[in-house]
Amino acid sequence: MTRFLAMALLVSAPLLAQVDFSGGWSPLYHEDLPDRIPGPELGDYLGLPLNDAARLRADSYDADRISVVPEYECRPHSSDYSMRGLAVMHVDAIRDPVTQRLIAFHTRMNFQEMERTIWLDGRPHPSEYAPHTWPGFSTGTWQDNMLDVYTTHLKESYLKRNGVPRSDKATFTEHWVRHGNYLTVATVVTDPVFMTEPLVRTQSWILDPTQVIGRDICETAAEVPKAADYVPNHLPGTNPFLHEVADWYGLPFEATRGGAETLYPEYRKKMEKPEHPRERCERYCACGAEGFVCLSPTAPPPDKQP
Amino acid sequence: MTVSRFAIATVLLSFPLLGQYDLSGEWGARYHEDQSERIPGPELGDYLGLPITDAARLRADSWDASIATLPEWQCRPHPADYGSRGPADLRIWKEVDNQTQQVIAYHTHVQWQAQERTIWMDGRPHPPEDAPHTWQGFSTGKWEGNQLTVITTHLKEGYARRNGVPRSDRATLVEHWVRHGDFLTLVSIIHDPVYLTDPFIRTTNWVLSPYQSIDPYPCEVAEEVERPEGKVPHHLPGENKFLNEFPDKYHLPAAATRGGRETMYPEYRLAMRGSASIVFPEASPQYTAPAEPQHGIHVQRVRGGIYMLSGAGGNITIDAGSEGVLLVDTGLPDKTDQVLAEIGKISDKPVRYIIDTHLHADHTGGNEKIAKLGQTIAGGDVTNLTDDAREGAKVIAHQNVLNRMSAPDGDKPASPFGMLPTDAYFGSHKDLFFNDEGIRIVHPKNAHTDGDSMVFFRRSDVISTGDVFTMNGYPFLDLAHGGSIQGELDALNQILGMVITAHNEEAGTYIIPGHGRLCDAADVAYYRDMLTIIRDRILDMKKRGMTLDQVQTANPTRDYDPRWGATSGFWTTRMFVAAVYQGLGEKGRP
Repeated sequence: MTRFLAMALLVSAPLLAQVDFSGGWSPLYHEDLPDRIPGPELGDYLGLPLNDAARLRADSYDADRISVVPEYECRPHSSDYSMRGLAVMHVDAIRDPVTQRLIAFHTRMNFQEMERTIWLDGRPHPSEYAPHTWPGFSTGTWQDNMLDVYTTHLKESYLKRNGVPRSDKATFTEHWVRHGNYLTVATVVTDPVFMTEPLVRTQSWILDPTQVIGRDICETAAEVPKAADYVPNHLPGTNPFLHEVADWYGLPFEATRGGAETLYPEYRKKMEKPEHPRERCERYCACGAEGFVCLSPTAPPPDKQP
Repeated sequence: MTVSRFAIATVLLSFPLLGQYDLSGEWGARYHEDQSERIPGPELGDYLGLPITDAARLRADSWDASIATLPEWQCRPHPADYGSRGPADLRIWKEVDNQTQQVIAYHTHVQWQAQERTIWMDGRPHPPEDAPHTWQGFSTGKWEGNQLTVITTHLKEGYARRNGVPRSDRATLVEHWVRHGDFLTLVSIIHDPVYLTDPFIRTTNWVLSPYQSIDPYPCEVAEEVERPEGKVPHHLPGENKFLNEFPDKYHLPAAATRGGRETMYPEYRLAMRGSASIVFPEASPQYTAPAEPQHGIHVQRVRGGIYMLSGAGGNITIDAGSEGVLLVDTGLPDKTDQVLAEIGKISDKPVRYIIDTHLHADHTGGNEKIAKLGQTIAGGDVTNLTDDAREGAKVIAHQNVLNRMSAPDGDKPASPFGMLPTDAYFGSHKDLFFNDEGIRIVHPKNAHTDGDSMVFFRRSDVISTGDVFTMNGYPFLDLAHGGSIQGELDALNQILGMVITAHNEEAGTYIIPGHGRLCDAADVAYYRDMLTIIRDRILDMKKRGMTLDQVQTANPTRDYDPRWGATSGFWTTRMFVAAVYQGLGEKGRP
């Protein structure tokens, strides 16, 4: 009997170095909600370690591009940005049926059905000439109960949905931590083309066994007549929207231009005074209050809604 | 896109379905319910709370735990109904249709013996009656509110408790899976018309365990116990001396430990104290899953070019390939046209060979018509009989089949010439190479008859046994034509010596029985165990000087009768018992 009990314990045991991430995960948007759900304001580069090249790319961005240019209509979020918004996620664990070892995690995001495989079997990343994809090529290793994921071979995409670019030379590191029924992923984007420092962000989810992810089928349709070679963009110095965020939020314009120093709290000591200070909040004021998901910039807080 | 449309899109893309919960994850078993029974294991003779019949009780009383050391049972896993009882750490994952994102199936993996089961969620029907039975059975699921109800059929024989209480292969398992937060509760209900008087209900629980890791469970058979060939450990009726241990140890009335439906109910405690006027609830009806009705002739693919045709008398094996068709047996004469039609759906090539497993008409009735339509390959220059190459399939059988079919049999005339084998062999075997595989025709001595052949398709890994092994009753021991119980047991052990199972005593070599569903080694092993135990009982009775009438009265097969017995028809239980009795000498050999 004791041998049986010992065997029962041995055949199934917690492995200190691994956690099961499988299941349905509902995103929690309390962190950076206005940026992630309604979307970032045009010209808001606060806290991003951009270089000048990235800043010009962002200043030139015209949001019409994603509706006018058919090649962008069905572009999904890349794996780094898909963590940020519309991030309902299902994770499956893929096991070798003979050894029962975990070979990979497979993730599926609801937005644009972004699927990704995180290989855990030690395989190398592909060669430099292999195709780049929206999800990239991801491998993972365990650091105790934290999964470190390294992704390469990403297609060009964006750091923020207001035109701030992320190049195809970037790599993406993640740290997955499960704590009970919560999942937190710390993401670190390293881009030698457009950033002077790594960009670190965190996202969290809660386990949701009632979740069902439906289809998100996208079909391009040319709805806006345009010339064949037209790509919407603002010529340098002509983007009329870049001062909006500074004016709306009473911030110094320079701060909204981003750069590595705006990442750090010390920046507040050297910040200029705003050109148009605000006495009170006028946009996204109740975001996150009492779980309120603000979808409109001027929606009143829950206690003031009709 | 405006913000409001965006929001609506967000909501639509992912939504809770009121009727469904995701059961995926790693689930650590909780043993607080019935811990002592599930982990150390049930005591011998403890049938408390089990609604068992007398037949089940005798099966359990006869059970000897040493049977688990037989090679055929060393790697036998818990079946689907018992797997949840322990060690039962569990992994569940779902399979999703990529196009529709609908759940096609849930898969479960249980720690003990690494059993995996598929619960089909796509509305597919259960297989027909003659499909193989497996340890995990065939499961379909449907959401009822937030509870997943699963129906499982096609289970191999198993056990209701690990102390020998049987669960038959006619049982249906109904389960209700309920997830409540991080806890999972399974309510399982066994409906067994053979061994239970009432449905048997149990509950099992798990807690979500994301740190759990279930290791593989490879099992390899090793013969570690020397025993005489063919021995099956068991206790003769009335001789199991361990049955009083449980009531003595726990100070219970012995009658209570014998189980039965009344012992399920709390009211039984009053009966235990001698109250006479206890009214127990009425027996609940047993559930029978709707099965795909099987009428007439049915063909199922076994493996490669090998098919099993049932419903034409005895089962017919069809081997179809580039060289033509080989049949093992030809069924009843009035089914021949239908048989030919089914063969035609599989192959347009001629029948080259017919192998008769024995002489009986339900296996040879189609010989004449089918052979006449066939074509033999060889003939030609060596014998100068080129006509041979054009007409008639070759009909192969053991010499004893030809001897008996070509002579009058009592008041029955000899079989028509066209039905007779054209190619008889004697000795232990005959080999062919056909359709790119070796085929060994094996002759077991004096089993069902004295002219039996079993056919082993070596590459396809399929054995056609004829009536040496059937799934629809006790074996017909045709004493008048040389059959015997010992020869039957030797033949079954010979089959078991030829098979190799794929995993945990399942699949691998498939066995096409003379009658009944497609089988594998475990089905043959159960059949062998049953006949060995019955043989031992009758031999013991004979040695004690009991007459046949006394043996019949003692009813030595009563624990197997609900599944295998017959009280009418051409082969009844009484006839079987008589054949065993008559076939046994003092030492158990004919």
